[in-house]
Amino acid sequence: MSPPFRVRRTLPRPSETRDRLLLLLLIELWVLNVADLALTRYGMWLGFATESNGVMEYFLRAGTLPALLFKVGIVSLGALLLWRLRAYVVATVAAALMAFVFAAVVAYQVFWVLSLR
Amino acid sequence: MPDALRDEPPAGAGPDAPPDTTAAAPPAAPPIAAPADSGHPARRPSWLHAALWSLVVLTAGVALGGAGYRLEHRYLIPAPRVERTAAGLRIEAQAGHELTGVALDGTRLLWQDGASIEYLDTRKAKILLLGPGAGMRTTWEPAVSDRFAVWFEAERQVSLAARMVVYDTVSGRRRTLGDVGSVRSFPALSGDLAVWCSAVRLGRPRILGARVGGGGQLIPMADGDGAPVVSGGLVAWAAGWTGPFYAEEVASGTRWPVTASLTDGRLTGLALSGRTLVWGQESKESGSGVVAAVDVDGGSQQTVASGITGLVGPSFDGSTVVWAEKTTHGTRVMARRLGGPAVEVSRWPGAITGVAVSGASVAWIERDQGVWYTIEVRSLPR
Repeated sequence: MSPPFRVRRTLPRPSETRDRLLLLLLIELWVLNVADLALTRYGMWLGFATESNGVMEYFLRAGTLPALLFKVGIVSLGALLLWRLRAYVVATVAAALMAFVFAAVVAYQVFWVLSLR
Repeated sequence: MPDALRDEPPAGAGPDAPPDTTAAAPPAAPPIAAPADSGHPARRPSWLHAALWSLVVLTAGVALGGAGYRLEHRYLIPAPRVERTAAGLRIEAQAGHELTGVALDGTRLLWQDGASIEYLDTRKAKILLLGPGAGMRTTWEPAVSDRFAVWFEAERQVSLAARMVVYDTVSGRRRTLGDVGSVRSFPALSGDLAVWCSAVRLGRPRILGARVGGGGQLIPMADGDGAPVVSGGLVAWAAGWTGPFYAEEVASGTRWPVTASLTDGRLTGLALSGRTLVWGQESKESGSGVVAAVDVDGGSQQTVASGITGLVGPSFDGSTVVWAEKTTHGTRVMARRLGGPAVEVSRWPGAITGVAVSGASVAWIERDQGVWYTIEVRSLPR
């Protein structure tokens, strides 16, 4: 007989300072998201880059504006969701992780663009 | 959770605060944001701490991206090493990399490195990887002009649908111009006019041209095989490995055979500048090669060099012909201005596999006894 499935419930731990950190991380994430699109579009315009993400490629084929609306929209939605869950530590951890990954991606793109000059 | 992110509860509301026994009113409910648990001293909510922590996250991400870029370019995409020397510029390939098809125009140097197309502005001495693009595994020797560079790339060598790619050295943009079919010759380029031979329709090779600065619409020329070269609006090609030569004005479509005295040797190179066509021809049997020049409109043929063995090239920029030839101890690069004497540019104990000349500069590819390739760029001797 298998043991009963147990759900570990995370308790909210509100913190005003963590809220501030989350807000800053979400703002960074939003800016990095726009920078990622701008650098990707520039790389594609230069003819050296291709979009590997099938969904983004679909929107980029449709044009820069649809791609911008989709990308900014989806990240803004995710950011709002994380902000609603700000009482949970995991929301801040998730935002930090995403900001970290986006910063790495954008930094890579910036180094690459600079290498073309 | 770092201590910096813990809030300080209002004074008197913490767990260590003494109970207020004098107050008549019931004690206020503890505020929500006051879980100063685990006995750590609490802090005030701080924008500064939040900003510092967000900066740490950002910096760590930037460091990872930068390190990833550096590692990738050092170990996964190793480019040849560029070194400025007293005589000019040296580009040394990594072990196992084969450098071919060197092309030079002014300060723009282009070559093939295995399947990669690499570009270098000799003023910057920084190599730029231009091709092949995503999904492409094969390239052909490139060509360069005063602004553009062109090459073909395909998924495989025997592809029936190679595509022409152009790189604009001014804007830094790389564009795929379209399918050229099955490649039968390397491209040649003058200004924005590229010419080559390919079979767009199966089994029907044709000399073709395209304005690479525009939309790349194909300009059909002669039917049949050939290795064309171009200068301005004039195109010339050899119809076979031993000739004969033909010329065509692209604007008018006027075509005529070029009168030239050819031997039965195999053509080693063809170059056109202005209206002067220069070629090299060497017979395997006799082992004696010749470099000659002729005006495409007719006139006397000029022998630039003769009695050559192991001929490589020639390359011609309108005033100077450059080629490489075998010597008893290796090879040497030779140059001769039309009407002037031949001069030795350099000697090399190994082999020389390609030469290019433009203005006062000459470039060639050296291969040592093993598999090490080097491109040398030097000034022509005065």
